[in-house]
Amino acid sequence: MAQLLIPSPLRKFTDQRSKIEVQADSVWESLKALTEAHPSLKEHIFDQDGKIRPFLRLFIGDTDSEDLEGPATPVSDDDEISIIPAIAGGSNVNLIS
Amino acid sequence: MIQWNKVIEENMKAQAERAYPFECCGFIIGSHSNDFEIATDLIPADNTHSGEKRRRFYIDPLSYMRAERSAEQKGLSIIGVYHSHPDHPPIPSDEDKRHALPGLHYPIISIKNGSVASIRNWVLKETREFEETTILKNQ
Repeated sequence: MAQLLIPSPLRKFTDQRSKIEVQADSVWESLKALTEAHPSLKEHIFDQDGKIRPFLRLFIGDTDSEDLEGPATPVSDDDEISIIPAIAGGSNVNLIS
Repeated sequence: MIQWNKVIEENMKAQAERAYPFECCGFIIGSHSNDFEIATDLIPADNTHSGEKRRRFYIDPLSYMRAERSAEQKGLSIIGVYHSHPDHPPIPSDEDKRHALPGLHYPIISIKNGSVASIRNWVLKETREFEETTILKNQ
């Protein structure tokens, strides 16, 4: 089974487990399996349209899945899939008066 | 609540002032207590946003991965992400909310004309709304 590596902020939804084994053939299927096993993770992984939230990146080993086939990237039993939050933000447009 | 000491706060402020007029950013490393998190170190990060760094910041995923591994090697974890708002109040923007994760602290340093004006700390509730929380300061 492939292993999903959970970033520390999301471990509160996985009973503090940092690694979760999933039976899946692709990155997408691995996330579906993860959120079915831990439903409270779902809204933090997927947006309202059911798409993977854009600030989450999925790495197979040290390779960004976006450089492979994205969510359709195949995974095998000995793969480690890291869920990595791409940290971003910023201020609003108007300046302090 | 989050607790940090004077050195951590001064380092955060200094980084924000050096980065002005651009946004600075970084990770707060620490541990969890029963009711609050205790900051023990900072890992400054590069703002690699490809556009307007006065109003936006971005930390690439590999930096996050390295910071998390570094923290875990010390038996700690990432407990927060700080950034600055140059010439803006220390209040989360819609952009901040879009990218935030529950369980992390998000201190925002307001910089006005190059000097720190104030710092306020926020957490994202599980309803994905920000809530301000207390900063406990020790020596």
